[in-house]
Amino acid sequence: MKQDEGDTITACLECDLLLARPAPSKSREARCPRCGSRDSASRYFTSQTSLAVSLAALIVAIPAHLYPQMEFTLLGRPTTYTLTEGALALIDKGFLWVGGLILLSTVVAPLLLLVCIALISLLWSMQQAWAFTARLLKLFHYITSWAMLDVYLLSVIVSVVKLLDMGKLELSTGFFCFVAMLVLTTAATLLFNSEACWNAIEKHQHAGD
Amino acid sequence: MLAINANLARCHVCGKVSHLPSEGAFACPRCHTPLHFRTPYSVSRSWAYTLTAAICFVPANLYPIMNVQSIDKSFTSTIMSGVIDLAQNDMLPIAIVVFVASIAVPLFKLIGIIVLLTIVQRGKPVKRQQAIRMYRFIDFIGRWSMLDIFVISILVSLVSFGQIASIEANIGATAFGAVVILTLLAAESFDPRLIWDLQDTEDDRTEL
Repeated sequence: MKQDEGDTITACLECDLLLARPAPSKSREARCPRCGSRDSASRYFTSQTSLAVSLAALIVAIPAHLYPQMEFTLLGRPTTYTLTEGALALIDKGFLWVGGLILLSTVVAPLLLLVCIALISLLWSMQQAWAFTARLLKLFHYITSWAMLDVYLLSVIVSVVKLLDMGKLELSTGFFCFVAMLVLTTAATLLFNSEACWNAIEKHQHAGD
Repeated sequence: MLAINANLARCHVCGKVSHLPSEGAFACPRCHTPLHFRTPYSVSRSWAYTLTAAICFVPANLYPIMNVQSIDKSFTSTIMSGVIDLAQNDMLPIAIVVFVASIAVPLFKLIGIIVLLTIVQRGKPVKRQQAIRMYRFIDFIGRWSMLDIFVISILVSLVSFGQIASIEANIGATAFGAVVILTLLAAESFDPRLIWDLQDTEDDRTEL
């Protein structure tokens, strides 16, 4: 499915300048001539690539969530850590808000984001269920800034350094799956163009009139 | 020409540009979100979030974020003492990372947003490129403050050996989480178009 051109005008999100809508480009995002901000809506979007990458991310997400990421041994006694455990441990000990926040930004938001991208791309290629796609796109819009897997990766590194002198620490399967998931999630987000999807929905609405 | 001068508004959810005769009069025809020329009450909401964050910033730094207990010693750790600990254990690069993410970034964000809000409220000509660069920087770095929160969660669940050694979260963690979320919300409420609505100090030849 080729990307639809949509309307002929757009406005810069950062400075409100009226612009001719840039043609989708594979190489670069268009920049506003006045303030220099990039417009992600000019990204080249194909549903197949988007679907492939988001599905791949969802597949590695399974071992990333189920297998332990680290094993920490102190005086011969090992403990392991899986992605969701930290948040759940905090909630368990009464830190409901902090635990919930961590759960949202490392588990719920990234997974919802991937499911949204995969489903939207799938429905786009099937040219079906436009109303549902619109709902998914709205959910995507509100959830997208809450996924913080990249920050989480850095915090794993910091924790490893903090614990190194206390006991024996080993990174295991879950961590490497998590890194793969992070790379694929970033790729899926960068390849996705929600405005192209809105254009397709609108075109369909008009066709129905 | 600006969209607002042509009575046009770009939907902040789906990006469609539509005709809008007066502020808040219509919803976007494509995704049914209410349309606005500028984010409504952007400055007041941003101020509210920023001030709340500034208040939470005090307990976040004064109260301990973790209790560390082991056989020979037991102590509480604040954000700053964690950084000093890392630096003294010859892990300076990581100490710098944690210092930047947990102390410098939230503080810079608070000050930055207050500066931007003051600039917009004064309404005097400013160097707009400089102001927008500050906005983009604040918008970009905000999420990295979550670092310490995630570290706490990893340590708490990994170091739980009962009497031998255990780490538990403390009240400072909640306050710090609140600071991070509130500054994120403050940056999100701030409408960058307000900066471009001001006059520039230098004659701007790209003005169309």
